[in-house]
Amino acid sequence: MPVTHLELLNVVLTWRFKEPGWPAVLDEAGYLVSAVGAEFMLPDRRRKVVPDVCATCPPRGITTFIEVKSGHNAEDEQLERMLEISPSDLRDLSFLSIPRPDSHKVQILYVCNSSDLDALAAQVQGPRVAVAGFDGERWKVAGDLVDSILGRKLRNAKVELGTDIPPLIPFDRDSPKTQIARWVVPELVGLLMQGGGAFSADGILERTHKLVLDVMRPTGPGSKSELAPLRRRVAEVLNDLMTNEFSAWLERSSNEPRWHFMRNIPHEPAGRIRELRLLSRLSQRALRRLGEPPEKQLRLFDF
Amino acid sequence: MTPASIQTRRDLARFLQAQMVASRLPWTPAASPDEDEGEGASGRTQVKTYLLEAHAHEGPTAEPLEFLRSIGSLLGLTVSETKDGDLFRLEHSNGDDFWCDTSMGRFWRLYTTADVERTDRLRDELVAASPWLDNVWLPPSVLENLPQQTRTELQTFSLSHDRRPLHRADTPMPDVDYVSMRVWASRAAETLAKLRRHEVFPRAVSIRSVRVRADADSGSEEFCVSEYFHHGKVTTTGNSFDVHTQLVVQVVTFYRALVERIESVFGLGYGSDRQGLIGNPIHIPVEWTSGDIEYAVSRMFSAAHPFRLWGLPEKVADSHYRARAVDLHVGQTFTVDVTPSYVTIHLPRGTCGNTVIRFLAALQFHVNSETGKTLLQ
Repeated sequence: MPVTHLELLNVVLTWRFKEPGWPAVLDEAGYLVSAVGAEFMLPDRRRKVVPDVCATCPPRGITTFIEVKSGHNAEDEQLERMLEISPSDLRDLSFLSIPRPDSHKVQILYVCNSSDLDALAAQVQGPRVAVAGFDGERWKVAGDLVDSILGRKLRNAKVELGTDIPPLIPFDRDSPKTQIARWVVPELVGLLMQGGGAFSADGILERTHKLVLDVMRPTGPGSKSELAPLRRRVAEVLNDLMTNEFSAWLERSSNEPRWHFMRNIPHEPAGRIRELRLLSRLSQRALRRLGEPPEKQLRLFDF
Repeated sequence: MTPASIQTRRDLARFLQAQMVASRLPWTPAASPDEDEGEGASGRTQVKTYLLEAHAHEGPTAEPLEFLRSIGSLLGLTVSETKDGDLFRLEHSNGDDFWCDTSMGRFWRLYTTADVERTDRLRDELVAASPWLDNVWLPPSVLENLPQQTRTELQTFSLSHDRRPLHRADTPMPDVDYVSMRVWASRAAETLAKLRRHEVFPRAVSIRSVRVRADADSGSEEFCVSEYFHHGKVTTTGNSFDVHTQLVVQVVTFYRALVERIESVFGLGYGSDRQGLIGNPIHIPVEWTSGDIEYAVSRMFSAAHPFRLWGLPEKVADSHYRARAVDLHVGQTFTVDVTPSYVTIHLPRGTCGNTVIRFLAALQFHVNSETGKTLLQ
């Protein structure tokens, strides 16, 4: 069954980590993930390109731009731009550590659902370009990867059956509100436990996207990243919660994208547990209102 | 020497050593039913050392003195400096005295000779008053290895294992539902080994405390007898505070290495030195002892004892549950996946390794005493 763009991106990130059931192909091939959703400046310093992931293998001197496609349409211009970036540009414009630009290589790997593999591969043919189609268990690779070690590992990799895709990036700009709320609400409770006070959407993202936040930041002067639209989505969810289930807890500072807690969790144990359970009930109610299916939620017990 | 006259770490050592000697009585089982002090004819109580983990540098105040004063003021404590820059006196309005030694960085030692009920309560209040302070948690498997690791003699131990919190009351327990015992035996280590070998309490041998005797290396007659509890309390008698200190430093050093290893190996995030994403998920195989995992998961994230985690667990697939958990001790968040065969933790970089140790300790006390042992070695 085809998976979403965010799920495919998380599949790519599992390649870097030893996730139970998932092959760590990038890690085993000696790669580090140095950027996620960050803009790269082109040599003319006007145009930019935003590959989903940039992974670098310092020992073998290879950088791989990974572009995730949940459909089968590639943007020609995007591929051209990625191919245009030279190792020197990566070093000089994006501050990546490229010790020997002369011998460094850049390759492009598209990752898609296996059902889109043929159509996508037909559109993005060329040297240094390959496409990997994921069928839920294995990757089928079309085209030629410069790095034969990575290509071999990818072709041999297999996911254990029944293993779910881990939410390494919990939500993106296109995620439904309910999914964003499911990750934002615990951070509100965490902030309350740390004394409440005021916070921003960035403060929430610092917690929900801790894994990738630093590699999502702009890669050089004048560049941007995926952070801005994410920030807007978090703000949207915070405003929604504030005007509904969390109206007694949250308030927005006037004219500022900041919120603050109107009440705190008591120190006294009985009061504390009462308030935390109230927050559990309110949160479940909010998630249901936003469209979460009831069967996803576990029953709350008053232990 | 009076508490008020203690101005240095050396003064404190002399004062506490005198208390250790005075509290030393011929030990009998009847006199010490559990961790109670066994106060004897001398009327003295044992020296207590509470091991704490502080994150004062992350909190509203950057300095230990300011930090202690800010939370001490809420609890009736007057905090004053001594001539040693990292030793502070905490004077309670009820007359009890405490000394906080912050010389081991984030791991603090809180000393007192006051009554155990009051001092336990104060320690609990201190930890509850700030998310930047927590107990040092010594899980059952860590306590079990403590005599071997510190080359001390195991004198006695206590067990505490309770599966009831994660088990539906209306369904029968397959084998053991709870174990609570304190063993007085001349060969405590052998007794413990027999309990394991004969599976008297299958997967329920969870050590709650160990009492060990440590002798000075020099061959002198100096020694201490210290009991280490899972929540970081140490009670001590004997004739040498120095031997006690050496032992405590050994235990804290081991604990520090464990916490820092968890943080550096597993903390997920950006590693600036390697210019890329680093860390790994923590994968813990679990042999569940409660039949209904969904019920157990609901209970784990209900904010209640023993896990003290808040979360909104969701069912992501058949028998696969996930929660973004809030550690109610410190307010930090992490992701937990639970299946019938394993638990996986995604620990964000910067989250305290102590959170993982406490979680594993709760699994060892309430699910299966063998869980996560490898990780804690």
